[in-house]
Amino acid sequence: MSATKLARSSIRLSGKAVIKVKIYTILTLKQILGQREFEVSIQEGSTVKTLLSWMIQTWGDKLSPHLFQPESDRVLPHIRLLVNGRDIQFLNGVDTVLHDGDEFSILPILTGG
Amino acid sequence: MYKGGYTGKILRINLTNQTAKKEKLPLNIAKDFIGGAGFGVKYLYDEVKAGTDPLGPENKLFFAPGPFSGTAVPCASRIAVTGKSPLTNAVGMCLSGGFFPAELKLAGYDMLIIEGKAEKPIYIWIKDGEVRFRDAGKLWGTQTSDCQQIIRDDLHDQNVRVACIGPAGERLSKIACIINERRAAGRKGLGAVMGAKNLKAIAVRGSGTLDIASPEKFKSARAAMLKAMKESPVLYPHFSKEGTPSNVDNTCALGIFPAKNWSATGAFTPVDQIGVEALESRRIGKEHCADCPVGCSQLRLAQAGPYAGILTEGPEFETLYSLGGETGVDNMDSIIAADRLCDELGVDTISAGVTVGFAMELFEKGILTTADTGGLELKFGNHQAMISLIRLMAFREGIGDVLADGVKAAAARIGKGSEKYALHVKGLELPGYDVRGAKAHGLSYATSYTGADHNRGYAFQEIFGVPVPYAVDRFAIEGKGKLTVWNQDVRTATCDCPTMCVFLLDMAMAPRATESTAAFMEAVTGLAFTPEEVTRVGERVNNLARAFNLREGFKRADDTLPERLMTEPLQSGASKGQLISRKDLDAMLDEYYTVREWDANTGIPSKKKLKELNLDYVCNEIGAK
Repeated sequence: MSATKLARSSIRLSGKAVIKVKIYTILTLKQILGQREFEVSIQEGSTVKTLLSWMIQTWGDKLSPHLFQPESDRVLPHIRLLVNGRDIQFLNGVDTVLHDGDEFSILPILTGG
Repeated sequence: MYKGGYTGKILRINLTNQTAKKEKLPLNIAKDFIGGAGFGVKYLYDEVKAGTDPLGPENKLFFAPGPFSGTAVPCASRIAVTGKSPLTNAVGMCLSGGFFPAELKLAGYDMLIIEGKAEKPIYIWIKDGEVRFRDAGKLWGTQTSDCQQIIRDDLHDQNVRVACIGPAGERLSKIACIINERRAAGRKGLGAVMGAKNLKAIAVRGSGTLDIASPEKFKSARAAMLKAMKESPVLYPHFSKEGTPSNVDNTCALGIFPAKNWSATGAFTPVDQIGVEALESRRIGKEHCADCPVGCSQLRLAQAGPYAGILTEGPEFETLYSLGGETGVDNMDSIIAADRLCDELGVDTISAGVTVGFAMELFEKGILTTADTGGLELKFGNHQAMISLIRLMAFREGIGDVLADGVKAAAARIGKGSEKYALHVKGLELPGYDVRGAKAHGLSYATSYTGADHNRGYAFQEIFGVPVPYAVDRFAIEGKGKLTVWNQDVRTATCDCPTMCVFLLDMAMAPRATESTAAFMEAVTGLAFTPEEVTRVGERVNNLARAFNLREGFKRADDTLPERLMTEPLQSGASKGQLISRKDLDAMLDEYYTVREWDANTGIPSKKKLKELNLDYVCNEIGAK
């Protein structure tokens, strides 16, 4: 993930069918997004990459430093991105295609138990 | 002989005769076992014979700080307490932090061995080279904070450090712990071993200093560690301020925060009620262990209702699980109160909470009724009942007597199919990760030499996504045997033996833990280690502990998980559908045994492996081939 470049393009909801995906996050990211979990409507066939790009467009500079390395489109190495609980590096990375009803989790760094 | 770090002395105390004897620490034992848990396991194997009654005078307790405790190595003031566990009949080993560990080193000892049994309650007073046995008749019955303060007053020295038991240990509750300051050597019932010996407390004051073998190398190793700590994206920015509770938010997100006796994981996720934000408003200060620049331990004050005004150091993540998720309690102030109550009565918060959760499920299923509970409505979420039950358990009153020895013993007494709901491995209650969604962590619960113990082989790769030694899919089965061996051996060698804080490994030192330990060993003690030799110490300790357990009659069949985890898939949350089936567990165990070079059927280490580890002397006792 750390070396993955993300195109900063928006999700276009016109045309193809729309699916619903739940976004879930915690701690600092939750504070930025304003809620722990919420549902978004995205175009069928969208990937993690397109969803992240939409999020950056929506929350802009507030969110970007918490997801990307400075002056870069590279995702911070300690950010965990999961689809239905599985880390996307064990799926298809940021090219993982999202499906209706999927849960997309973004977990900032933390530890200690 | 020793150039630094070690004092070279062991203090052996016989309570029966009230004698104290100083012995030399053999150099080969320091080299082979480093200290802490290594010393504890080595001496336990050598000195506590198979079949020993854990609560009899023949059982022993080994209090061993590490070679860096008492020096300026950061985060090393920890102590391993080892004995045969009355809860599991296996090796009982757990660690505590605070100031007591460094104080024992500065008093001049690498290990304290307690044997025999006092005729009546006493406490031990160690002041450097002097040892006194003092009457504890008036202390018997005191809570742990009162006990410590009374001893300090009695000795006219407010800087005395004390490790003691509370009423639960006095009553031989098998989930009783040992408390020093507000820290706990919490698990496996070692507080009951102290109680059985009529030993209320150990008080220590040390005025010594410890040599450093190579000040230049020490400076370099310390600077490297402090740099890694500073560069950690989590240690100071978050962990120093929040402590462990943010893991409630994390494990809820992963769908592995266990709830309602593991029947509602993923469905009951009280993040808003007991997660890190809820705790923030109750934080009034923080605590450091000796020589720790991080200070993860938070002081929190209950705010409302009958609990207002109660202060605790914590609750840590594990306690938020055991007295929160596990019991279905989402009242934060009651968890603060229950945490403090457990510390004062000297009860392990994890085992206590899991036992309460177990009783609640039995009550909800009608196996226990108000006739059994003395009128307590033991429904999930009933925090008043939880607190009442903890008190009953510590004092062995009413239903509390049935539950005071943990879930395995309680299920045996209650019967009626209750064993199905008793969540333990080898008798030790499950800690706070629903391992159906973290398979290597589950394998470690099954194989740890202490039973279900999150600290013996913590799978931070699965829980936090730390990609060391490599990233893993938390739901995968393949490869988890090999990973678990790495987790257990490296953690043992870099945390449990040198008694370094585990949080450093997790958050700052993971990629270089064995290198750092080797560097400190050479710099502080003058004993040369390669990183591979450090890992080998962990392997040696895990094999010797295994040998102890085999000698006690443990078999492969004991390396298992509760039936619920193998037959009931998670119903909700981000780990929905996951379980560790019998087949999955067997596959992981086969891989684990192969990597360990243990016999696939008997679980006995091979003679070849034992010889490699300088453990030839155990071969015949355990029938190694």
